[in-house]
Amino acid sequence: MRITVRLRMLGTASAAEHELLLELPETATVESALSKLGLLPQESNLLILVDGRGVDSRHPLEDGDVLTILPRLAGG
Amino acid sequence: MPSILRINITHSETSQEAVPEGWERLGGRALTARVLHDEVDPACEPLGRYNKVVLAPGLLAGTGVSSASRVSIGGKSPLTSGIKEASAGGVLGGMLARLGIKAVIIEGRAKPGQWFVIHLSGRGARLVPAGELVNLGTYETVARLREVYGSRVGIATLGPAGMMRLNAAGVACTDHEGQPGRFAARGGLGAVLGSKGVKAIVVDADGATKPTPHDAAGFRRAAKAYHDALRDTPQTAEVYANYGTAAIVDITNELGGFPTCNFSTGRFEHAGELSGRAIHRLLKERDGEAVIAHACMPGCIIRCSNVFVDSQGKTLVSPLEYETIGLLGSNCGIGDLDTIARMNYLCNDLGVDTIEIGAALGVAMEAGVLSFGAAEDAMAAIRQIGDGTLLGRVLGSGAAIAGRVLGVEHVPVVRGQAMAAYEPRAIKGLGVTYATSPMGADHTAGNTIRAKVDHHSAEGQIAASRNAQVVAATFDTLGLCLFAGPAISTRLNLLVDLLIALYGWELDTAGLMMLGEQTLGMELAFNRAAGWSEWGNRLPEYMSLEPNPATNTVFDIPAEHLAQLYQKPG
Repeated sequence: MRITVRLRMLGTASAAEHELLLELPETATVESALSKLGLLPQESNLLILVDGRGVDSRHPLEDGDVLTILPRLAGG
Repeated sequence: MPSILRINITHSETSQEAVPEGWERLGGRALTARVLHDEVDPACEPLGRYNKVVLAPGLLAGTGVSSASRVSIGGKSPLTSGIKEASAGGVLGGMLARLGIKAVIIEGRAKPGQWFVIHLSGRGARLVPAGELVNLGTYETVARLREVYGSRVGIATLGPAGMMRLNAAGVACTDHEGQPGRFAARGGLGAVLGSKGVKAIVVDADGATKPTPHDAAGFRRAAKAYHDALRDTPQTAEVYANYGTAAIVDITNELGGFPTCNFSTGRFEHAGELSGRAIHRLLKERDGEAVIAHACMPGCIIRCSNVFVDSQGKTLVSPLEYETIGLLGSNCGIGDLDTIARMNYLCNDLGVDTIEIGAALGVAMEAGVLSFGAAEDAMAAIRQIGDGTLLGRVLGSGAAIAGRVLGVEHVPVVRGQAMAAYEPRAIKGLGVTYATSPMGADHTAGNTIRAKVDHHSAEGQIAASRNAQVVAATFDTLGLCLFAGPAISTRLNLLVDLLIALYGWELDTAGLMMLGEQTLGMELAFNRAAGWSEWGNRLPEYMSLEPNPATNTVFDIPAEHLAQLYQKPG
């Protein structure tokens, strides 16, 4: 299956934004996507959304999902 | 030895007192709570003679540790009619701590028409007539005071809104460069200070040295470990520095929790133009006086602040922050950063809380007095606050009063105070905080946005909010910026080590959290005696009935759970 990944303010020198398509097996979870992106070690610092809803890394992905990954932040 | 400085305005008397027994381990918000709890009648009139204003630097202030020199300002709030603490960054907290002042207690009040500047230095405190400063905006006030007292002083000042005792008035504190952009904004404490006849507080700590740690080598080690943690956590090392607090726009808008057009929905079509990414891009292009990573206090590693400039590279305002963007921007249907920055500057100069004013403008827009997206009209309405017109005073009295005057049902307030830029039907933990915090609807009292919960679901929100409220009260007691959270929330021992080395206390992480628990306990006791009931722990009714269209969720945390939040052990 194919999912869209939107990365915001993550990666080397916290790159502003990056969007990509990820090809994953049918049984893939958020964890598999993070692993493929090399983001798994940072998981506790990430806010992970599937179609605008917060999920954890065990969440199963479906074909066509939009996965958005942001740093966990609070604002003032 | 640290001391308590008491300033009685009625009698023009100042006195230096030893720190009472039992107050040694208190600082910042814990100390403002203690003084108000012990000395102020909770039933008093907030703008009357018996209320007090307390300034207290946090326990780590002035030590040179990063992001830990905030000052708490406390008093009974004219907005919530409960106890209030608002904290500010900038230089004031560090300077008070270096002068050995654990708290400044301002009591009594001036005769009508009389205004003072309080001057604090190593030689003590004195009251100076405010003279021609009285009606000036905060920027001009600070510029003149720096001419008189030198550019190294720290200043807290009111603008015209505080002089008019408007409920949305905050206290503007100076930053590193002497600009009054660091606000103890919330709760109307500027009106309380105005009711005392105090225009400004000038702190001169020239020649004063950092507090001497009990164990200097241990303190250096603990500070290094804490600074390493800030540097090895992506958020505190680079995300805030690159994108500022406006980085949150992407998060709340994705979650459907970015307040838009008087909290009528949680996604804004122009959110991308208001994001931290957009600010970063603009400031890079415009250059000139722009600063992307700006520290509000010396030595801050996080540097979430910025200097926002116009297309010519000239400063419009510093800082331009998330809450301001959410309330003066999306909540008013305004999607242009330059306009929001200009509104922000006006609010700063008048000395009002951008959150409260943005919410009041949203209410006026819903009432049809103004229109969503009509930025010039909104700007003119803000100017009316300074002119003291009837509309200006209504807006300057905050969203709750504006809603009553204008006959609006949809008013995003709790306990008379406007919500911050987190829509609580989408980010429900914030809704719990708004409803239950002794601070009223205040995001700084317990922000759950980083909590590992499904923000759209009711599940786990009570626990997330309660935990965030205790952490916030603890950080506020230390003078620690909440943005250090990502680096240390799982390494609280780093804070314990700092306190042990600084003060020589016996302490563990449970004891650290007790500082927050005890603070909340005093605040809740004050509010109960002021007439608050747990059954008033509610969000506006419509938020339980009408879904946020961005998420199709209502606020559905049961009222009895909100009422009992503080009756259950954390």
